[in-house]
Amino acid sequence: MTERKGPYELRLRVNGEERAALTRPAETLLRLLRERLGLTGPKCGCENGDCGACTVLIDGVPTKSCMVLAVECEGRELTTIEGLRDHPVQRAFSAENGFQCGFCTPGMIMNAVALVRAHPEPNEEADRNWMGSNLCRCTGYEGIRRALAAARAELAARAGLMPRAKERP
Amino acid sequence: MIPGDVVYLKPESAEEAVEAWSLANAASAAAGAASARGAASPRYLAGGTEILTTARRSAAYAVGALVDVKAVPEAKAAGALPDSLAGAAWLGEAAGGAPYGADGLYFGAALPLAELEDGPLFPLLSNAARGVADRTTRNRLSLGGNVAGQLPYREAVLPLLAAGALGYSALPGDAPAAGGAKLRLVRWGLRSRFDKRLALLPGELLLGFWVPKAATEARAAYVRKTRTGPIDYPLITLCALRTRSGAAWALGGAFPYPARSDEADGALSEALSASGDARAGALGRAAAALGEPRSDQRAGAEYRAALIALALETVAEELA
Repeated sequence: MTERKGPYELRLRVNGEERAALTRPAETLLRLLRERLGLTGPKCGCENGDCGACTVLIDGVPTKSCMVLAVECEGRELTTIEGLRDHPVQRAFSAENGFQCGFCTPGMIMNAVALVRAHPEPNEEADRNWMGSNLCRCTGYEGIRRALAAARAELAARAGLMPRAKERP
Repeated sequence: MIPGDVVYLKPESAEEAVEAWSLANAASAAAGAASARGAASPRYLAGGTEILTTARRSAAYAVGALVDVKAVPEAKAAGALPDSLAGAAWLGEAAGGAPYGADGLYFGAALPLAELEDGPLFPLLSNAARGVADRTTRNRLSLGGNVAGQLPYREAVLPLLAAGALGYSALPGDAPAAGGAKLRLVRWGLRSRFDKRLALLPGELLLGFWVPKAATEARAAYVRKTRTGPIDYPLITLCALRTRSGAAWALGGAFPYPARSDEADGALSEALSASGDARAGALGRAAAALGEPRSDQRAGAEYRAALIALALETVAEELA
């Protein structure tokens, strides 16, 4: 049985790197990422599981990091927005103006990355179901919807399933 | 963040989990006796969403230790009943209730609702799971946490109530100090232990639910109405199943608790084989059997009653 109490050194794998930080079992993953590891991509919006601005991937599964204790993440693979490198979803958000103030964008992108991986084909029902987890206070949803379509097209083109839009006859 | 310090324990078996809870509870009681704030009780943790949000909001919700049950095999199993539960004793008076050994499906209490939503095993449970919170949150929310939680809605329990599910849990053994068993595995009829909320004993670890295959494969109907969009608390959620004797259903959102009754089941069953005024009368009795819906800032009692009446008509058509 694993037991953790008081301040202790937590080791976990974040964005492909082994990291260690002093934490307490009562601390959320969001606070650990932002305040101990300096990863401020996940945003502290509501801290109540409502807004999705703090979304990260835990073993590839989108998760609101304000709703998880850091101690639960020992041995898990975490990915934050800082761990993406010119990902097609990031490029699509830029190209399609999928943001306004940008506060919700890291959470939106992390959820979208998992979404297009789980549903590589256009799927409006899945898009509504998954992306409904993230709120954009600027209401920039139309750009986000376009970005999802563009990201899927890019990923499909990479996989050789269909030509890029500009290459079509 | 949870205010104050907590101890985190992650057992790998039901026996370890129950023992960890008992030890943490004894330590907490001893510490509480010396503290003006009193004892901070240990809690089982699966998804943890309710624990985190409640602890953050209220200093009165003290958490001393968290026993993370996500590595307990019986709490994560789905499909066949785990072998370790085959000998679970019947809890309560007359043994029996639902038939043990019959064909059925098991759903572990620590399974995330998103996994149930995606799973094809029990479509009515998938629908009910999909109604709770949002998709990303459902990646954390657990079946057991939703069923045994404090919120009024607890929609995941509705299909289990309609299906007459069995619950499985682990209790501390009678006399472990005297060399007796450390653990008692028990099974029970969910309907008999669920009166507005699931009655669990102190330290009792909810492991999962078993649903007869006849219910998982039965014709089902699901109606959910909210004030705004799909991600909102329900004004009403109705889950119904066609059964051998007629129909069984449960209703959430309309009251501060999930509700069902044999009388309501009987009236809906009657409606399935009636027509005209007799059918309308039976549907009216089905709704009345659960009592008058509540009024709150989301909807008035009359509006909720109208929604229930419409939903029951839809359900009767779909099940007939």
